Amino acid sequence: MTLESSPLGKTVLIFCAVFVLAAYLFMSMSWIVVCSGLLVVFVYSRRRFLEEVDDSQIKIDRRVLDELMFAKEPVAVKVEITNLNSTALEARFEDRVPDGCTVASGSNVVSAKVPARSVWSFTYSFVPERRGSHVIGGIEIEQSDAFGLHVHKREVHAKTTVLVHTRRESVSMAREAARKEHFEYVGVNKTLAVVLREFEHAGIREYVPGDKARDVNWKALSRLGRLMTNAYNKEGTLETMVMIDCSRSMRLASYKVAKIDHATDLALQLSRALLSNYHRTGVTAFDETSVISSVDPSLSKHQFEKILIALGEIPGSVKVQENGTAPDMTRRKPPLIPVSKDAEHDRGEAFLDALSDIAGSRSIRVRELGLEGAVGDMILRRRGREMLFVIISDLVSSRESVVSAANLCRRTGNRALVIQTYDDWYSKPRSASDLAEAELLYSNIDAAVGVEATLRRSGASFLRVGPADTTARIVRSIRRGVA
Amino acid sequence: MTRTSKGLKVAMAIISAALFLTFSRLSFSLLVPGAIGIALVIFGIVLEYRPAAVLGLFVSLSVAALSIEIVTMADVSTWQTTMLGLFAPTSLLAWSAFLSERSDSYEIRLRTRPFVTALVIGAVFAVALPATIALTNIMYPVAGNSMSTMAEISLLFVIIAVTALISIWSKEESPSGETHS
Repeated sequence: MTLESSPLGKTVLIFCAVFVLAAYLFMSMSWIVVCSGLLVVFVYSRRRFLEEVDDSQIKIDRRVLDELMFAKEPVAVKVEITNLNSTALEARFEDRVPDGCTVASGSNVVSAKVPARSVWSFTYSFVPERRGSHVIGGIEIEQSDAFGLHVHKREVHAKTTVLVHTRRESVSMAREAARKEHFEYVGVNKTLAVVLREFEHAGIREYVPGDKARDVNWKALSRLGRLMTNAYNKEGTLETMVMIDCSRSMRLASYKVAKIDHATDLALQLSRALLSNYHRTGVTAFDETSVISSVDPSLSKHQFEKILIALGEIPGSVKVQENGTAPDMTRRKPPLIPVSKDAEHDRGEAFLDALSDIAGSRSIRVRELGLEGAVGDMILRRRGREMLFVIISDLVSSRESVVSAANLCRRTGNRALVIQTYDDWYSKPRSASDLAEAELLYSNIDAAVGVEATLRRSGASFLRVGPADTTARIVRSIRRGVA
Repeated sequence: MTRTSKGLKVAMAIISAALFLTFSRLSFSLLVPGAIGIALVIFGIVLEYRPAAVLGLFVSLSVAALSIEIVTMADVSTWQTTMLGLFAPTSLLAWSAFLSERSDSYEIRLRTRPFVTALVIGAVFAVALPATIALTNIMYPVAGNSMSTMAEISLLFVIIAVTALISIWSKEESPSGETHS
């Protein structure tokens, strides 16, 4: 535990030094005696304060008062400080507001005297500037001693993660879309709860206890001597998974609207529209290597709330710097111990050995990552039930994985709808009169059309959207068969 | 553990001033700033305003150091003057002045261990010079009973500095008990 001297404490020490100099200067012991008297009080105050800090027991409880948080809207936070000591706690408390957020009302820095064995609280609100998860850091407690000579700073690590959505209108628009838009994907569905109408007779199978009497094939009973049940393929709404690409290219925001924010809004509104049309709907957010958050398809009462929470976990956008370079978004940590070249070489060799072991072993099935892994996993878990995968991606960082996911859907009899948030439409408008710029735009759209063709060959529906496109427009396009 | 209050602090300041006056030979030119200093300390304590009290403290201490002339601590009379006329009132006045902003009598209380530490430092300071002279006489009987003022100042300075540093650093680190949820 370290104590710092306060400005007054430093002043006292300086005066002590001056008194010592005066003692030598005037050849009088009075000055050294005065200095000693001051030092005795200084030491006493320090020891006393150390004991006080040692004895102090504080409990901190932070609560976010809002249930749903939106960007550019105040988020109310209540901090409760419980002083468990038998003495009062007089300190300055600073709650660490997340980066990029500004305090709206109240103050996150307060000086207070918390009476012994009592609870004291303060409330403030901050405004998050962008969507994503924001972490309220620890609480810094700055305590000064009764003499005002020493200061003790400590940080209580009480982190609270706040999931911030894009804007409030997005949720109301989702409700509006659910009310107005009829969005339905019909296919073969064996889930009785969502059956719309019977489709065709699929055959007979062994009777399973629980089958309805009307479905028992009585003719087969007389012919085969055992109970058989008629099975039907039934037409119903498809289970739908909305997959959101959170890869590096999606997160970069170079102009007004970030692709990831728009994709999140679209996913929210589409899933609301699908749920209102009795689609069992879930969402998955993925990046290049992993699944960030996921909610399985369901029609449960609180499914939309679950989706809302899952979408809140999607990372926020990152502004492209003025010079056009992208900031470093990786989560690398610097090595704790400096790595020598030899050690680096050894580690490289070990890595290659491990890779060759994996490649050499036929029995090990390497688990796919990101989108492919998520789609494959979902297909496996649904055991042959037809599903619809709505993939929202810019097809830049995750182009290959989207194409292979579409192929996987085709091979396994599932459907895929790819909604491309086209990169150029989210960038700052370029001058079309500039030949180089025009050529670049042309080559970009040419490449995008190529990818679209590949996806369509894979049996996927395709829709290219820009920042102005709304869910209503997307739903209507799909219904008109544009996709 | 005892408790202190505003009245006690004012009383400490007045006692300190009385001790200063008793043992010093104040001229009128020093009496005025000394009185102003003490008045500032009392003013700071009454109004719970530490800057005034601390300013008054430094003025009073400077006046006291100028008015009480101590050349040696080897004599019993000067030792008594030093301890009762300067060291004790300095500590008491500093204690009162620094605590001027805390009005709650429950808060300002003497903790036993720090208080004992402060007493030990005071005791070391009080006996350092006589003990050194006694030791020197035992080891070297021909050395005599007196030291130069420069040597006494240096000796006291080293002893008080070392004792204070040892007292500060001797406290072992221990985690503070805060929890969060």
